[in-house]
Amino acid sequence: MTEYVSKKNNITKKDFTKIFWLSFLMQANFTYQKMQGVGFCIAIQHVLRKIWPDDADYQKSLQRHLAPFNMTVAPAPLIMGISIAMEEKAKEEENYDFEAINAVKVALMGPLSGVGDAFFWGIFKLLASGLALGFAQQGNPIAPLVLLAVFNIPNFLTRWYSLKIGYARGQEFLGELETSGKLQLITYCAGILGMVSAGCMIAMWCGVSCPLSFEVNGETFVIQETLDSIFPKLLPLVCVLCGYSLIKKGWSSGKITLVLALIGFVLGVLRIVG
Amino acid sequence: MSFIQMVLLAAACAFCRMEGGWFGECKFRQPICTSFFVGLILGNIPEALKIGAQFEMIWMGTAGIGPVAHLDVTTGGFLGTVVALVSGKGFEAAMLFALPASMIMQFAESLWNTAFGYFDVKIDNDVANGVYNKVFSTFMIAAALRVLVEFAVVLAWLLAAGAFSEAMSVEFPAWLENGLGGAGQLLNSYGFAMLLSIMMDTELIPFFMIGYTLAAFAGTAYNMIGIGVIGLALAWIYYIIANKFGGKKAVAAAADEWED
Repeated sequence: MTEYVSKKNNITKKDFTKIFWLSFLMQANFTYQKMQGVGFCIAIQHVLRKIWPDDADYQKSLQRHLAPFNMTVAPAPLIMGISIAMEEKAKEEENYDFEAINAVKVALMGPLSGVGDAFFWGIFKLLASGLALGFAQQGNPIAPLVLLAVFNIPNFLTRWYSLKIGYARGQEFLGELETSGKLQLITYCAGILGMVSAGCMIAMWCGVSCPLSFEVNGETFVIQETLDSIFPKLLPLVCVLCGYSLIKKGWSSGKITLVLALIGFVLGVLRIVG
Repeated sequence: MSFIQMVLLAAACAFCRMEGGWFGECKFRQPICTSFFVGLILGNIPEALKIGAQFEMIWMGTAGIGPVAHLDVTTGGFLGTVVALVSGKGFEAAMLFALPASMIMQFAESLWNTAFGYFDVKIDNDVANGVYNKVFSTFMIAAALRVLVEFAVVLAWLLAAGAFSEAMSVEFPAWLENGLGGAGQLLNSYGFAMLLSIMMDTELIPFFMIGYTLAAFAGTAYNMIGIGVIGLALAWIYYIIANKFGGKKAVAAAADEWED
């Protein structure tokens, strides 16, 4: 028995599973021309054909979805779901404003990427790297598995459910989240979790230390021990904040890398850092 | 490195680069994953993973956000790990090779992003002329070509990495070792600075302070899971308060609504 998502256009559950898998290919040919535009189109092409049996309509729908597109990839299926729902609506209603479809896509790209980046780069990637680091430092081959699992479980779940939610009630759902300020609130809360994790990671993994020591009246005086008794991990924090202020000054990453490598080299030779 | 090893390495590196395109950014690109493949092929997984962990840290903050080409941590970390294993010199030598490589590959990426736009134009023309069944195949041909290009370029890089490793395998004087060590530590902190810069918001500073202080004083008594739970609890508390009493963000959004 075939399970239908939309009986009137003969769209089956299988079609949606296909969109899910094709959505992974979205950036396979990322270009400055259309960014992920073609990748977006190929993921929903088979459904567009079902909605528009007539060639002229089908051509227009393809052209609509070949427009430049760019967003965080994991929640992108949400917009695919919304697009399909809108295409179906466009078919039913006379005088449907087709421009609205791309307008909605463009309008959703930004806020959805904001939430997506906060979760996928700010939390999942950070936790995945952080958890795997400990294993990797011991040379334990389980490390890549830990990293991939921690990141990909939310990655796969988000793709699957966002596609379903997007189709079923995406536009209203997102519109409501945005006007009520919930979307901002969720992004901010994701930021809280991200920042707590970032603080923890820097203290745990950023290893800047000072090997300097002095002999004073026969007693050895180790600078790092004194620093540790004031605030452990003070040096890494200072260095990270210096790097941060250079980034905020608008220096390019190449320039900062070069300058820090040089300063670090000199400090290392002088045994102030190491 | 034997020739077969080099071909395998180039294939593995191209595979890891494919993840962003073919497997939906599933993070094979991270140095911890790429170094695993290097270790597998060169026969020293534990050592490779230790190098990978170091690269993971100096590039902690590189994120693929926005439409521009990003620092190529995949190819850079991969080549760096190869250099470390072949020269036996460890992370400092690896870094000397990987940092410029990752920047050059970032530039190469932006060239390909431009050149492969040719296929976008071709697809547009096909659709305009009523050829609909070629959209997918043209897209996949372009995608496959990109993998081949990556494979060829990495193969060339590996030749350079081999020569570089040989030059590196001499005994370093102590001052050079110290200097490279110092450079490594500062670059490590820069990676974390980048991480801060993509997430920082003045209002989030207190949460950063909580995470940092807990881990700094407790040391290894805490781990990421413990801190993650504390972070989740804090986020949750904020969410509840904001929802109940209209937190700052919610109020700001409501104000926006009035203006509309």
